[in-house]
Order: sequence, then C-alpha cells, then structure tokens
Amino acid sequence: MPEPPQSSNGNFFVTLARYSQLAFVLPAATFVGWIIGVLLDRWLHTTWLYLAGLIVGIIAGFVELIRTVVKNEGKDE
Amino acid sequence: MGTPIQHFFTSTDCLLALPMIMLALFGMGVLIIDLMLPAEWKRANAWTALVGLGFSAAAVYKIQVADRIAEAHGQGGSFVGFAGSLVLDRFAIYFFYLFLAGAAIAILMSVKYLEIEREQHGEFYALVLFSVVGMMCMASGYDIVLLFIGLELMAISTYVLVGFLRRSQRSNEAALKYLLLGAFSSGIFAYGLSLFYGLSGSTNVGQIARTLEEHFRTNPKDPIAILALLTTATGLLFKIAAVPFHQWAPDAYEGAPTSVTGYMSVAVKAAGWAMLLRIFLYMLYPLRSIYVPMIIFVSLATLTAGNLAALTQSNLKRLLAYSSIAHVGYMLLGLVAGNNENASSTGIKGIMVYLLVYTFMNLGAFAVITSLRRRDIIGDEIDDIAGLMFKAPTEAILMLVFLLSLAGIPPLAGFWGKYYIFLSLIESGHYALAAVAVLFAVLGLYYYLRIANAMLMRPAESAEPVAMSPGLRLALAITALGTVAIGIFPEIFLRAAAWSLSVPQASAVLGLLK
Repeated sequence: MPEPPQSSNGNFFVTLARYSQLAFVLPAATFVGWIIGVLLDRWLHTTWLYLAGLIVGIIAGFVELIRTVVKNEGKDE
Repeated sequence: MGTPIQHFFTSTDCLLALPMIMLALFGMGVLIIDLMLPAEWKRANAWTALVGLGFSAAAVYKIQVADRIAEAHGQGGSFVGFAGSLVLDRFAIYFFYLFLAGAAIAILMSVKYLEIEREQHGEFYALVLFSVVGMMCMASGYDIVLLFIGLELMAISTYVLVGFLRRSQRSNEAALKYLLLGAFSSGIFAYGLSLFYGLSGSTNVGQIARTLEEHFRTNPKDPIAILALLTTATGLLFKIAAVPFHQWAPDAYEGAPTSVTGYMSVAVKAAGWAMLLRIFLYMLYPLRSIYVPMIIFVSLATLTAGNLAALTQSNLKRLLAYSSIAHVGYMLLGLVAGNNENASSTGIKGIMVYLLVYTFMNLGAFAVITSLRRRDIIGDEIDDIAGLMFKAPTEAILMLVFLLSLAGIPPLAGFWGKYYIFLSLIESGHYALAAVAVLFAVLGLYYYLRIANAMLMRPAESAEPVAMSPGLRLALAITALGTVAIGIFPEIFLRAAAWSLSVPQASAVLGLLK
C-alpha cells in the first residue's frame, strides 16, 4: 500500500523549486496588477484603476495556475 | 461510605448524559435488530442508526433549551454533572451537533457502498454510534479519566471501522497500522496525563489548571511539567494527524472504506480538536508560554509536509489525506493566534468555523469519491475520476464546488475558515506566519485543480456509470447545501461559533480564557 519512496535526490530539489514557484504565481500576479493599477491611478489622476488592476492581476494569476496544471497533467500521461 | 446515592447521580446528570445514553441504546438496538433481519433487509440498520442520531440531537437540543432558560435567569451557560467530571457548556454542545451531523452524513454515504463491498452488517452502524459516544465524552469531559475513556472508545470503534472490509488486504493492513500507532500514542498520552495527576493530585481539569498555575509561578522551568506537557501534546497532535505524528493518516485513510475515510477526516478529527482545545485552553493554559513556540513549529511542519506531499499523489484518497493534514496546519495557526494575550479569541473562533465548514466540504468530496466505487472498480485513483463531467455532470459540478471550497475560494464555505485564521494571525501580529500560510493556500489550489482538470478536461477511462443511491444523493445535497450556504450567508454560522465560545468560564471553570 505505501507508495514507493521518491528516490532520485537531485530531482527532489528541482521538483521543490518548480512547486515553490507555483506558490508565488498567484500572489505575485495579484501584487503586480495592483502596483500597475496604483501607478496608473497616479498618472491619470483616477481613483478606481487600482481595483481594476487588482482584479486583472488575480485573473491573470488564476489563468497561469490553471495553464500550469493542464500542461503538467498532460505531460504525465 | 454512608453517602446517599443522590450525591453521585442526580437528575441533572441524567439529562446531561442523555445524548450519549440515546446513542448507546440505539447502538445496542442495532446489534440486536441486526440478528433478526434477513440479509436483504440489512440496510434497515442504517435507518435505526439515523433515528438514534436524531434522538441524540433532540437530547442535545433539550440541553440547549435548558441553557437558554438558565441564561434568561442570569446564570452562566454551562452545566456541570457527575461531580464535576462532565461539563456541558456551549463549546461541548457545538461539537455535539458537529459529531452528529458528520456521523449522519457518513451513514448515508455508507449504505450503498457497503452493499457493493458485500459487507452490509449491522455492526458497522453500531460502531459509528459508539464512536460518537466516545467523541461526546472527549468534547464534554472535564476529568482526564473521562477524556481518556472517551478517546479510547472512539479510537477502538474507529480501528474496527477502518478494517471493516474483511476481504480487502488494504483495509486490514490499514487497520493494523492504525491500531499499533494509535495504541502507542494513547500510551504516551496516558503517561502525560498521569504526570499531571502526579503534579496536581487531582484528575479534574480545572483543579489541574489551578495547581499548575501556582506550581509554575514558584517553579517556572520544572522538567517534570515540561515532560508532561510534551507527552500530552504528542498524544493530542497524533489524534489530529499533525506533523511529525501524521504517518498513520495516509495509510489508514487509503485503506479504510471510503465513507469511513470521510468520517475519520471530519468527525474523528473534530473530536481530537475538541479534546485538544479543552486541554490546551483550559488545563494547560498556564503553560502557554512553553507550548506556543512548539505549536508554531508543528503547524509550519504540518503545512509544509501536508501540502508538498499532496502535490505528487495519484490516489484521490491519499491526496485528500495529505490535504487534510495541511488543513490541520491552518487550524493550528489559529491556536497560535488565539493564545496571544493581546489578541481576542478570533483564532479559536476561526478553528470552530474551520471545523464546521471542513465537515461539509470534505464529506462532500468523499461522497463523490464513494460513488466512483463500482463492483469491479476500486475507483480511488485520479484516473477513475477522469471524464466525470461527461458521465455525471451533476456530481462533477458538486465535486468542483467542494474542491474550490477546500482550496478556500470565495464565496464558498472554505474561504471563511481560512479568512478567520489569517485574520487572527494578522490581529495578533504574526505577519510572517500569515504570509507563509497564504503561499501554502495557493499551493493547495494547485493540487485541487489537478483533480478538477482530470474531471473536466480528460476523457473518461471507462464508460461505466457512477454508483448513485438515494442515501448518497441526500448526503451530497446536504454537504453541497452546507458548503454553499455557509459561503454565502456566513453570519449565522459565525454567530454559532462565537456562541460556542461565549460561556462565562468562571461558572464552571477558571476565569483563565478571556
């Protein structure tokens, strides 16, 4: 019943790096979207673009995450 | 010694024990009725068990009404029975409802599943009822002896339930592993409790807390007290499957009948949490400066190990086992925040909400996995759920709802659990912990999306339809309704969680918990 241990040690860190990159995709995209929105707000003297940037960032993060899932799952087959 | 029996057993005691008495009677009733039922009628045992759960819930409601009346008269809302060894406060009542709901949904999920496995026996339902009696002792016990007996009653029933598929090697192996590791942890836990008894000379939780506080003021680095704390904590952390005491969980979860896996991951875990909160917040509160750093370490280890291990699983039950370990990590963070002296009890409230939403969303996910079990298909690999969207769109969409809720996406129930934990961390100034927890939440999203991807994007491996039954449909409807309703109308449930913690502690307990 127990799964065979994931042997190759070198591989482990590569995998770890790949997955930790995943964890940052969504927060990073959100943050970048927000920053762009705030900068645009300052430049154009508006007050709502930061919100739009935030939403675009969140959506972009999700899209990227889903694309990674689909890509990785396709590779396993 | 000449003391009248009324001093030991009063009518209040009877009322307080009524929910447990009901369950025990119905459990034994199931065993007797089972003998008289012909083989094709065995599923009627499930109805007997459900009626028993209903009677028990009515008894809990009766206590709740008594609590309301007592409140109207300006008295504190907690009842003490059996000479202080049983305390039915709102905390306990909240957990009672949670256990009963978890057990009822698990029974609804089991009926068809056990028929497919050809293991439809009355003992199954009796054991579920007996394990709920044990859980109730764990949530309301105010004496370390009662707490321990409750723990064992629950654990022994669960060992048998895990190994209930006698013809399945996986199930037997899982039960044996769980039994051995569980016995060790119970032993260590009992050792810790015996040291506390030695230090305080009492088995009463409140009395131990009082003695410990005095003891600790005069002797702040007493090695015996620290050893007792460590061994007790080990036993408790084992029961909720926190790292590094989690190794039993994936094996036991994978081998157990799927409905039992669902039951273990919510009700048994909630009982472990009830006892953990009771002991950490009531009995060991004077030692909080020692155990908080330990809990921080354990929660970070739990989050890391649970999430990273879940990423690479190909078995659905194993994946959900690791994800349930990860969820324990978030809840432990609530305990860290709730222990900060400057903070409100948002963290503890977060744990209560989390346990409630987790009951619905995780049981729902397991209900869908249960339906994948067919006569000749085990149905717990990710490949087995592939193409579910084309075979059974309703189940696929419900599964998606449960998965997104587990990942914590608003406006579903899971979001509120995580939200309150993170909020409590920020309120109590643990910014770094909150940031780490958010990153792990995103990682969690990845492995839940893996299942969703298989379900929605890949073609089905076999054309066989899923095994649905009225019981399973009802279980799915209840869990889906719970997941969506808590997500959209969180107010009612948040108020219930706050209510469960609103006991004026001084009436039964020390005034330690603010």
